[in-house]
Amino acid sequence: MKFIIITIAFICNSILSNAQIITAEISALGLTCSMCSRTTYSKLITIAGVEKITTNLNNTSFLLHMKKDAKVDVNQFKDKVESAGYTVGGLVLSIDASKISAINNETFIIDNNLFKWINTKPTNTKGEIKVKVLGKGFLSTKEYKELVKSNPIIKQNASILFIKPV
Amino acid sequence: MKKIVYTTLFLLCTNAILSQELFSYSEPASNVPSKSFGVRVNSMLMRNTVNRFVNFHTMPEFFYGINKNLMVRGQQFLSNRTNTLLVDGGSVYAKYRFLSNDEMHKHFRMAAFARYSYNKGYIHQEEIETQGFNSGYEVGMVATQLMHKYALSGSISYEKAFSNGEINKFPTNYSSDATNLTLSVGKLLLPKNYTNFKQVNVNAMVEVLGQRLNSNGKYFVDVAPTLQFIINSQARLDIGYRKQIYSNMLRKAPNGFMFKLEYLFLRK
Repeated sequence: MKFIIITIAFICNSILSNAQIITAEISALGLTCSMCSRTTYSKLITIAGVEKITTNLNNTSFLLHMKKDAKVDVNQFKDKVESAGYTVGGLVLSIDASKISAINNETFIIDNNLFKWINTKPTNTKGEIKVKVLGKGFLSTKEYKELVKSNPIIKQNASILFIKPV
Repeated sequence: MKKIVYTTLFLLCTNAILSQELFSYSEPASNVPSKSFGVRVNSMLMRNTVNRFVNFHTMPEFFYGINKNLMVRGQQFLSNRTNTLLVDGGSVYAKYRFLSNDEMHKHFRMAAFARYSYNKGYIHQEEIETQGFNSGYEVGMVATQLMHKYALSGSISYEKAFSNGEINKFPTNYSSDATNLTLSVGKLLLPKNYTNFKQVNVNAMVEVLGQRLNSNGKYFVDVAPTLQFIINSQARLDIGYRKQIYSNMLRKAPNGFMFKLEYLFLRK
């Protein structure tokens, strides 16, 4: 089954060679002070492909603007926040989706990140689309536990980045 | 003194945005960021109750975050006990965060810690303090809860003292081990709204520090209000005053001021 998914994903990838992650909005949990936010910022700015970060210190969110044609590893967003000592409570990616169709259970690849639509109604994805990443490390523990109850596939396929439009 | 405590408690009860948990006399359950390191100088000016002199102790230290859950610290102890500033000893310390439950502007964390100290100074009090006074070790646990405006932290530890080198033997009529309890509450006073990393943060906190000597049941309770300034989100200055509320054990210098300077070098 996994082989089929990856094969389909690679076919999609050849079609989506121009698709790109434009921004990543990270909502960080557990931060309580400007020292914590600065630590998290100093980790996030080191991610390859980040051009600049707009920080909202009051709601501890970080909007990462990616360089044009940057190759992005989505797991880095989670790893860097965790290395600062905190956790990601939400990740919303803005994707150049001119060639992506939001169809439930369809997969596609951007920069070696394998995405799969879940709980998605067919959506017109012309231009830029915002997607929420659903998976361990990208949601609060409580939200993740509730999600996997109704969607065990998310827990079973941890290497896939499940997404839904927001 | 009462005025200081009441003023601090009043400040803690007024409204502000978020709290912080960088407690001064006790350690929170949070850790140093992974691969980051910092330097700190903790100095105390304590009034000696016997000769009325001011005892000066200063403890430069270096700390490092090995990973997101484990930090280590090396500390040196200096004092003016011989009228000149001399090195009394040093310690190594490690803290491991084993529980972390993060939510928006809220978290609960628990950590275990251990310290091993060497000190060559003379033993002149029943109080056991492996941070600067006694050779020995301390092991304990700390839990920290952050609830929007307040940070609350509590710790329990076991502390064991040895002789201070070959010359300064541990007195046989003293209890050589103790149980420590701390309870700390803190609150962010400024800024009212965060706009950038350069804003000076001002925190107020009150800590209750207690020790019970295991062999004879003697104990003390201290209260320590502290004002803390965080500059450029990287440097920290704490000014605190520790005051003994009750004690039935021999303590040479329980009351006095504490100044703590810290700088965190953020690593990528």
